[in-house]
Amino acid sequence: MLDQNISRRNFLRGAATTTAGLAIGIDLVTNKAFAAEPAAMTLPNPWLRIDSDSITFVLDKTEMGQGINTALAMIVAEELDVDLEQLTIENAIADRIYTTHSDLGAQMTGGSSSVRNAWQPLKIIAATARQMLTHAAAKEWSVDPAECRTASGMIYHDKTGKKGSYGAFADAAGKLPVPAPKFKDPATYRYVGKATKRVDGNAKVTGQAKYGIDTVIPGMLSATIVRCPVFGGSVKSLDDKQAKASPGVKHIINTGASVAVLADTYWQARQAAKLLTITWDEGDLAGLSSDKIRQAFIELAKNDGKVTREDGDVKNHEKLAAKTIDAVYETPYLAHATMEPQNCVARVTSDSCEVWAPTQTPGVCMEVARAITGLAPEKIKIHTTGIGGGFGRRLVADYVAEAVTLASEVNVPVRVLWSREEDMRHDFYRPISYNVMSGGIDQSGNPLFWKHRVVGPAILAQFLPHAIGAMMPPWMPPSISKMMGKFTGFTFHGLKVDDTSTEGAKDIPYKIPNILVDYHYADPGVPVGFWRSVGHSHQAFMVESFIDELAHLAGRDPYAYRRELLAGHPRNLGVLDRVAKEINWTSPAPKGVFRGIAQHACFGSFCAEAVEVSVSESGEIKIHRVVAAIDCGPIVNPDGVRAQLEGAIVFGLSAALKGEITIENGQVKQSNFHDYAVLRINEAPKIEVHIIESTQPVTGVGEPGLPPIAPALANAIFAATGKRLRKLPLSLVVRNP
Amino acid sequence: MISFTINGESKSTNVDPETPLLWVIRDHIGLQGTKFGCGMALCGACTVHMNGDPIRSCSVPVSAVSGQKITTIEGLAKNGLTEVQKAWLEHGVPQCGYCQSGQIMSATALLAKNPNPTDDDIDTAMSGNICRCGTYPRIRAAIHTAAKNMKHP
Ligand code: FES
Ligand code: FES
Repeated sequence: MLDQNISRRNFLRGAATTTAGLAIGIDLVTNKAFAAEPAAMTLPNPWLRIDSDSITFVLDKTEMGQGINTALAMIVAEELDVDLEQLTIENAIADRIYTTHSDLGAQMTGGSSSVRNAWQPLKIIAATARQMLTHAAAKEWSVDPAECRTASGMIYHDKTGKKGSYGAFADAAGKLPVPAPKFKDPATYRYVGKATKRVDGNAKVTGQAKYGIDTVIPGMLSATIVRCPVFGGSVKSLDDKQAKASPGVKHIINTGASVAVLADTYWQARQAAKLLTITWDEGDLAGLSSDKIRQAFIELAKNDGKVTREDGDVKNHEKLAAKTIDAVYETPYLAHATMEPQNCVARVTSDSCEVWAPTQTPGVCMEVARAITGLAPEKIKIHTTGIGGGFGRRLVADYVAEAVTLASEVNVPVRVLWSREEDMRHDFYRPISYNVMSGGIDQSGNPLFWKHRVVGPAILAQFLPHAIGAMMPPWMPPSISKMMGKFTGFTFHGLKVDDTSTEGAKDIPYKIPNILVDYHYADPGVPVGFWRSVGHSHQAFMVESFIDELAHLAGRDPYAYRRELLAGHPRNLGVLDRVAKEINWTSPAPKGVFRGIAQHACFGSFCAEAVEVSVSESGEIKIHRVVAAIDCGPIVNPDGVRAQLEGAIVFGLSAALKGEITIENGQVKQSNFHDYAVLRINEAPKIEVHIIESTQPVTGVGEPGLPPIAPALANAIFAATGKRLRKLPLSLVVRNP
Repeated sequence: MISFTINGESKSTNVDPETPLLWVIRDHIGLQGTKFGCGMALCGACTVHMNGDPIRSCSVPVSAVSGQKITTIEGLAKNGLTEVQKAWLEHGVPQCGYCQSGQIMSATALLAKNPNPTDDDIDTAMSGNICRCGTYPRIRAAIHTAAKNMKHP
């Protein structure tokens, strides 16, 4: 639990704006999770600012559609006792202060962690502030604070009829000692646990919401960057005569890895970029293809990998099984395809750097800017803008590096804006995964052994060198951070194991006496990154499909089979039972409709999904209905939870039915939504979400809704056709490559 | 010089006539509610109305709208919110919201022509608008609600 010793401090920065009023922070000294970063622990971390005419909640998490602005503001409004509308929500700038608020070791938003991490500190901050304000009022009125009450940002002393706004007592409250917080009785909650409309709904239906792409800085140039289509390639020669003469063009910059055209407007830059003649040194990956990658994986899979889970003795039980089954499961590279393409605006002078970025990692952006400009962190300001979808893509700050680099070159503000094609071809993809599985059952149909070999790249090996600076103490010079990054990446290469590669596979919850999960690290060089629910997003497909295979091998009902094997896992069972009940599993489906079911736990939350499909004679798959159940502890905003589940299911269905990035000649073949299709409204099923009441710790909801959908669908397709599809995207039609 | 009306105001521009309407709206006129998603008429983020019909402004050269009436998301609501926007709020449609200007423009055009859209009509009218956040089920529900409320406001 967190330390409740709260101290009132001023902001470290921008002190001038907070000299009056109450700025409250929380000292997280005893929180073990942050022990790695002593420098940050002693800092205040201000999320709340109250002055005479406004109450500002500083949101250090990135709002990218997941509704965290609403959920966290609800927690603050609840314990502070104000109306949600009374809060002004301001995006935090990048600051080490906010690292203490994250379990990821840097200021970032990911891992379905925001509510999980912020719930307790925000409650403490808001409740403490309310008490201090009340005490200040009581003091001025010379009454007993215990006789005062608060409501909607006002303090009342009913006996004397005195009342006053929070703002009126903010200055006085700021001078009081800090009490231990007294929390509201949850029975009196106005917001927490109640379906609440998004705080940004109005702005988003009127076109007023601002995103990264909407940043306009006077005098800024717009940059289009032509990158080598082959990963890791570089510029061999450049002829830019024609492009230079194109209207609006101000600079052409050859960075070695790419060529940037800077013009007055985006369209001018884009037109001019077409006139560049570049020959590329395509580098080592020029010959890479999806086929070669697959062949290499097949070879690797023939040998034992690094063991990540071993229960019992698989080897000796393989021969004892009454029946066995062998299967190969495969998932492709996937792009994030956020609706808003990557973009960033940067302004760099000799002693300042300012960045406006749609980012999930302000902390990493800070490090990137520091490394490129050589400026001290105090001279760098990172603004997180509104974001048109994150899904993990914006955990990497490559586009920020581009903007800062170009802005440093030209000394005017620069906007970098990617085209959809660039976004599709220069993503950090969900890793490809090749899986060899085998399993056996005994005479009575119970599983006897389970063997799962995973082959694929590791995200952290690529990501850490990039992100490590943000996790280092602030006094660490960039050069050292960089070295550490290389070293860390190297360490991961050395270990050849990375949780994100076998998560979901190695933590299989089913009662199977002999389990062996092993892993081959194989990185073909294609950039990989975090993709909504990360390893779980593909490993749940393997595990939940294969357990279905075992159920069928045993001649058992897949739901009942899972139930038995989940004894002792009440939360997995809870969600599984709930979807089974809601979809009426034990009664027959309508004629021509077939069902599949799957459950998976990740990021501390538990989710099950059941799907109803029909399959036409030509093999067309139609999804009629998806029923989901989630157990993520106590709920802040039930409507937000529902929206996240719906979103995760649609996102997961795009991957299950459509998504595939393929490599040819070292390049990504797909380029836009015509050849990297995503789910559209005509394909979106009805979705029902059921929330399990829970008193367990609060956990997240952005990702856990995704993993079960692909296997639930594949299992339904098996029920409909008898065909076991073991490769994503699922297809019953033989496609020409 | 190309002239057209946008949200009831006349505008003239002397940009390259091949410039897509989207960039004229965003960068020259400064209305940023219309978004860029694909640049190839594949995603619908840039949807605006030309004389009431939905068009993908990323793929229409500004020369093609000379003398025409353009409406963007900013021009929808004259007094408060439209029934479509209200229904969007009622159903809590937006997540990141990036696609929603386009969604609302497509839905508004649909309802203007077809006050009683079926699910199939919605599919036909709305399948050009991608939402990566997966708000489709709510979009469908919101369109039905808006249709109802437009009849009995
Ligand atoms: S940006 Fe115009 S349809 Fe995608
Ligand atoms: S709300 Fe995010 S893309 Fe539609």
